[in-house]
Amino acid sequence: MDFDFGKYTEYMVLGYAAMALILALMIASMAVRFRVLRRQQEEIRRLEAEIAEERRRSS
Amino acid sequence: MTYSDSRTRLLRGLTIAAVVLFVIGLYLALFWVGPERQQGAAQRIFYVHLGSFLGSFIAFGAAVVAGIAYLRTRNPRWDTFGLANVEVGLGMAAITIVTGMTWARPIWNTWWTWDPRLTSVAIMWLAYAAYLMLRSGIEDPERRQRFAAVYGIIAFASVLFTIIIIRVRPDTIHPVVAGPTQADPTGSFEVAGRIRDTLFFNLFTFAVITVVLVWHRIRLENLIQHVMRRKLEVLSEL
Amino acid sequence: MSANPEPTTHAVSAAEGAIARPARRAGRRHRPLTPFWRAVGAVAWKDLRAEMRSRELINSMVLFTFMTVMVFSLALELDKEARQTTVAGVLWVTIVFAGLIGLGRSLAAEKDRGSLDALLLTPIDRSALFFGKMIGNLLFVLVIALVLLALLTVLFNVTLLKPLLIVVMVLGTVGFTTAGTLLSSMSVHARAREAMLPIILMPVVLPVLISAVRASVAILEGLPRDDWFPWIQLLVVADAIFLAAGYGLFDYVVEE
Repeated sequence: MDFDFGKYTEYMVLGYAAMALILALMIASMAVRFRVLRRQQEEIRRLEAEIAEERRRSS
Repeated sequence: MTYSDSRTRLLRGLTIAAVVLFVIGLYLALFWVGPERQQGAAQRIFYVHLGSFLGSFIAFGAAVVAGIAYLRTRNPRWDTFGLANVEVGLGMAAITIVTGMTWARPIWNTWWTWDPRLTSVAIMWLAYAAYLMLRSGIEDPERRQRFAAVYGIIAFASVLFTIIIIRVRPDTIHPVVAGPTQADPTGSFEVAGRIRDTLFFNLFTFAVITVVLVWHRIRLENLIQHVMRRKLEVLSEL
Repeated sequence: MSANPEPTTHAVSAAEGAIARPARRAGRRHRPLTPFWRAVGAVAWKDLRAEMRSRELINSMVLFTFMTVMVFSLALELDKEARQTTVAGVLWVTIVFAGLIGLGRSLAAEKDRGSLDALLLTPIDRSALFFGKMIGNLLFVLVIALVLLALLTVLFNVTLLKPLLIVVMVLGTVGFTTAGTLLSSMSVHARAREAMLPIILMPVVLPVLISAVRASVAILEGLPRDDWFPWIQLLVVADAIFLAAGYGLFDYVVEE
């Protein structure tokens, strides 16, 4: 890119990169937690179905 | 967890809007505005610096509202709201601090200096980090919510401190962009033209981003609690 | 019970004192309230009496103060000029650390003995209980501060007993102990309460601490009024905020 940002461009890039990193970390941490919880929800559903199955068979 | 369709659609729309605004804001700050004469490209940091500070200010302010509302109504939703705001506010304040440092390095020739303004923002960050520590240190949920509400209200004193300290002490080297100072008590706004337009656009953008992040964080917290309850249910069935 | 009961144990209960005194007029609510300031006095007085008998807190605080000052003077190896500029910092850091010991004990001891529940059962305003506790803590910290003033005057050879400095000292310790009393009543319920108190208290009182140190330095160096007066204003504002917060929020912290 031959756009001239002005002097101190390297610090500007550093600043924006730092901002992007922190925003990305915030979003990623939320996304990861969401995914883990969804998986646990699936697990719970499966377990509940198993328990119900067990009950039905034993009765 | 199930939410009403209209709300989910609103959240999705806001999320997309935040992304679009963010991209436009970046374009304005990086390309549309010309380089500043003295500070060059480093000045372009200022838009996100101020924007993220506004974001953290909104979030911490909302945490106070959440604290008061929780103490009045004892509805745990307010506690969730407060927690979400503090977490997002901490992230936003971290952006403010880090972008400030990268600006200060070329302009002040140092990453960090114990200027009143910088000191007070660092204190603010620590206060809200302490909020999360306090939460994690108390087991009884009802008590945790109550104490978090109280601490969320008290910690706002540190936000007020960042705002009033430069009115009390004019010896800060930190530039004051808006509002009254001792040098100019009537209050002024000293930037104009494209810089001002870009600044306002980015302020608005970061306000929207903060709201969106807080909203998603609330949903995350609801899901956490929902899964926790379900786990207990299943365990009790075994 | 007489109107002024002479208690037999260390754990003097304000409950006894407050109940024994007949409430002058029955409150509109279902429980008669002891007049506010008398209740404050009773709580503060019972803390002082308990302390005068056991002297466990004040002894450890004073000894801790001596040691901290020792550590500072050894670690900093100060010459005459350096002493002038650092003495205010040494003074306030020592007050804060010694104060943390006192604040940590004040409510923790109450909770461990089970007398906190008794205190909460007394028919007095919760905010009266708060101010009583706060005044008790304030007096301990002020005693430490006075000891420190004398100690640093002797050891650092800097005259600290100036009226203005004492004003700053009182304002600073009021802010510190008000926030400290409120937050220590929360931290006693936390899992690692000894570690929790400094973590949650420090960021809240740092503004007070900064203002107090800056004002003290300016006063000690004999700078003009403009250099220290804004800090004193800030101290007053901070004190007012913390007092209001303590008055309004303590109810919610101790409700059980």
